[in-house]
Amino acid sequence: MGFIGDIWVAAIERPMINALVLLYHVFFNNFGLSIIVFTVIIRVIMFPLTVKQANFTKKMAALQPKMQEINTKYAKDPQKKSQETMKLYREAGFNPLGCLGPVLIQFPIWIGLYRAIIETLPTTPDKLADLSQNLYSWAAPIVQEVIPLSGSFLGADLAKRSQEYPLPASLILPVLVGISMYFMQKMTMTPSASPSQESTNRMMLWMLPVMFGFFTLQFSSGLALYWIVSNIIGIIIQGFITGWEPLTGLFRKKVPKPATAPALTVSNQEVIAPNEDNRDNSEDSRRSDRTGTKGAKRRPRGSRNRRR
Amino acid sequence: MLRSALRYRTWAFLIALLVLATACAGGVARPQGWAGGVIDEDTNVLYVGTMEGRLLAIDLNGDGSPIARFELTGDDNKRAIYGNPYLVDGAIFVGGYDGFLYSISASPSGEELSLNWKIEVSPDEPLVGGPVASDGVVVVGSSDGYVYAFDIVQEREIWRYQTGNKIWATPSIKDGIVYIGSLDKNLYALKLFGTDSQVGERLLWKFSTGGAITAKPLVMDGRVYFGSFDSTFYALNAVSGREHWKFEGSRNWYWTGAIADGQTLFVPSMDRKLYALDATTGQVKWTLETDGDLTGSPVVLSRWIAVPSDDGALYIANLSNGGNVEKCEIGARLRSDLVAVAQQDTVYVNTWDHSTVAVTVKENGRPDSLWRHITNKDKWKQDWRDTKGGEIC
Repeated sequence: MGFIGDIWVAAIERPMINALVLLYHVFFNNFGLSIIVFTVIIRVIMFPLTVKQANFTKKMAALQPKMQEINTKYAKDPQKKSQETMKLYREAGFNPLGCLGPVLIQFPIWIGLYRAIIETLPTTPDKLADLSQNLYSWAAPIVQEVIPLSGSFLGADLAKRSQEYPLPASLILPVLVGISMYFMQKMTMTPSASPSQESTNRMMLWMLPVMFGFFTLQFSSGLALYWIVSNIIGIIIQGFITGWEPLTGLFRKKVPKPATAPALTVSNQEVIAPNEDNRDNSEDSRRSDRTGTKGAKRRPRGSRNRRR
Repeated sequence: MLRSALRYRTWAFLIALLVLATACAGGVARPQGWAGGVIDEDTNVLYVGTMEGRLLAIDLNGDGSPIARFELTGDDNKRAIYGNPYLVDGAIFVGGYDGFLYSISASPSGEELSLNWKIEVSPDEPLVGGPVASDGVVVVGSSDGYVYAFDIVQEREIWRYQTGNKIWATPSIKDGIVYIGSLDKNLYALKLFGTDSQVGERLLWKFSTGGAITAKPLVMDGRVYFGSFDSTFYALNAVSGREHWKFEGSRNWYWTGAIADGQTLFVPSMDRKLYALDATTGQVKWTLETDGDLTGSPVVLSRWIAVPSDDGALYIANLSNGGNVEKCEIGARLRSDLVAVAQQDTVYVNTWDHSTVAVTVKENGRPDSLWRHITNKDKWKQDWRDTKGGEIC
């Protein structure tokens, strides 16, 4: 298999295989429970990275107003805009690529778990025979009574791929994976600072759930279960760190934005445009709202546009 | 900069996902098959189940040239043979991974072996263990957990018996009793003859072990010998099922069945060792260590024992003491049972790289290769000979 392959098996695959078999032995010979517990363990191990990613989202959100300011101010000078943006990052102690670590570390876990499920739920005699060599010598006497493992869980065979089931059953797991991935993306998405970032975010928001839903058809159902549970845990962690607004906002009824009034121009008076500085929270402003000019100062009595 | 970082991150992530899907989507296991063979000593023809899902007749009189073949049905995912073919009364019985039990004529019709009949034992449930026949009845275990018995002449099911899990073992039949192991960790003794209404209770006894059973039981001198995934080798009374002795010296599963020579049992284990045990007491006489799992049964020759190992070597050892060990480095995993013409000290083994190899053992115990028959050639009658040159052993 080669040196790298041997390292991969020894460091990733074999520990996962033994973990799954031992968990199966502990958790009532139920492979679904084994995967759920396994997912929790993985998330616990990755908790520091997950918190880092959540804080990244939080920092990005905090920097948005200043980044918008920079975008507006240097709209016509991309070089200056880039310099100011980097300066902002430096001052904030922020690394825009820092979120890649938590994302990239998921890949070996997914691949390893996919391979571990195939090895742990062998569908052919040769694969079952190979399992004996993957079990640690100290684990084999403990788990020998549970071999071969059953992949049955809630009516599904976790060794099977979703596409092996007839419609519409074959779509259940892909849809669940897609939905959980969508909510996960929604929770972890950084606010947009520019239209192009907005379009990137929108792309990721929809493309990842669709892609993972497609992957679910190709890979064993056990891996899909891992994704669903992992996403749910990720949503919960993110919610406690950065808040639940991205989720609750989806289900809140949208209030139409009030119309923006044109600026009032009155002779011998300064031009008044509705902005935060002029916002008056007293009763006068409520009266202003009734006249449709929110935030506008009330015209003194008797004044009117006159030509002299 | 941020926009670029985000865009790169997005595309890198999506491309990596596509690579992941491409790399891993093909990881679903396809059955390979590791059937051995059977020799018709009257005609000196070897019938082997190949990894291509084919029964191949090979002429042992000459240089291993092919005579005829029979192709199993089914698509690529199901066309495999794991159990050894069984020859009786001019017919060869083969259990296919496609779930069919085949009866094939041993007499070629031109280049083809003709089909007598085939029965779909259980839809979509592979037959992994080989069939065994006795007194007009052929018995096979199925992945649906049932043991099936069929009338050879009338081509119909006589009875079936349900176990608790898949059956991947080959049965043994002796004195009207079927002995078969199941992945439900039990060894069953079942009455062979009669329908369910005639015999009433089919089960004579069952013996529970601590692990799954895939080994073919060895029945001799009133005892049943078999190994289990609980790393224990058992000797039971064949009539009552009571334990006579057990051997717990192995550190891994027993996959394949044991063989015997006189009062010595030769027991291959997946701890890479062959144990020679006293059949009466279970005491270890000697042990042969190899570098690979032993999933194929050995074979006894005149003064030697030949042992196939997953390390790619065929081990030849002295039958009486396990000494004078010689190796034939075949270079491919050996997972199938051996088959031999004992008087000729010649062994035939199917390899994991799609070939059948003939090895003879000389007077001094040294192995010598005779020929290698490559089984996965499209032009099976022309290109079967291994033309790479050089000695195999």
